[in-house]
Amino acid sequence: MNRLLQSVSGQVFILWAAALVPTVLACLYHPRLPDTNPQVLQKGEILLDTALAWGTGVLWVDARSAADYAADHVPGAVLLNEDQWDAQIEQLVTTWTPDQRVVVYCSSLACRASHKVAARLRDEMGLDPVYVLKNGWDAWRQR
Amino acid sequence: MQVRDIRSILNMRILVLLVSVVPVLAQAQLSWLNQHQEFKATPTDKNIKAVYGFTNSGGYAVTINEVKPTCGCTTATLAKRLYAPGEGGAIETTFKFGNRKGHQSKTIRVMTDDKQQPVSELKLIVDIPALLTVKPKLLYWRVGEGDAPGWINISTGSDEWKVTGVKPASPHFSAKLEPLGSREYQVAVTPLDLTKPINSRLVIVASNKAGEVRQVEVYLRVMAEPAQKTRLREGS
Repeated sequence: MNRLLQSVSGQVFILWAAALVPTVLACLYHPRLPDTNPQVLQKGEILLDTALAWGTGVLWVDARSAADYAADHVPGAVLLNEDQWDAQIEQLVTTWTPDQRVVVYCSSLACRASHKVAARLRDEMGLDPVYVLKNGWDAWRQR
Repeated sequence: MQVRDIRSILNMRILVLLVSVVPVLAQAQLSWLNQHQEFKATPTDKNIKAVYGFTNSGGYAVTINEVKPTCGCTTATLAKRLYAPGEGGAIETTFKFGNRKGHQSKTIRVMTDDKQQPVSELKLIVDIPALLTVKPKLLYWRVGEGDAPGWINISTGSDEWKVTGVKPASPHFSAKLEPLGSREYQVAVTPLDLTKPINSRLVIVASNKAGEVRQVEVYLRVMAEPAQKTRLREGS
């Protein structure tokens, strides 16, 4: 009985060890690995301290819902999300000047709306530079 | 090797065996038929509906406490909350595109009282093609600077659609449309007045054989001089 148990557990151990290798590799190198580190910047992202250091040369864009924007937002921020893009883009276009850096934020580290809005501002509207605020509104609230 | 060492190794292996086997035995209650769904929308679609079927394949009843899409653009409805063993159900979702274009990935979280699998994630992937791709949608000049034309590139999503006209909304700009191919166009926009700031628009009109018409707006701006430049001139 002991030998059988030892044999089975040995095989399970080998399988477990074999599964560990791709698991570790996926954790380290998966292309769609969730971004959970608030300090590691992805392409186009900036930290709040950097944006604050730019002072008044920043046009803040709030990519959250209209309700979240109404509740509170970065002073001077323009509301722009993909739900109401056509209705909201005019305010941004008439506010922006070429000497400003655009910084887009959404709710938190997990949301992707700011990345989508930033990409459209660069690609469709031709604005440059456009950044995404790392950690979004959470970063502003916790500053 | 001593007997104690052998027992120690054996105990460790039994532990590994238990760790490996227990999750397999503890199977989830809700079995999803199509947890990950992908769609390709047409340029005229306004929304996509997706139905996520499931069965309670466990031995006890499961209550779905909440169905929560991560985007305000997606709604989800559920006929009832309590599902007996073996009973099936479905979550119907609707993703309203709004003004979204391109690759869209939406997540719907399903929270249950099933301790083994309290949360299931449903994925809805939609590729939304643009009927008209217009870039850039903003052209600007500065007061007092040169009146060189700005260029807009247009491409249609299908051969059925043709760009039929470009209309500046104000007399301060002129626009000329040039076809480059069956689906490609270019528009040259020239400002006619660079003496003062102007905010205006250019309307691009496209139509198909069925008589349907679509319009896309491009923003045209003549901006005030930068403050620094104005100060320099006042000082000279």
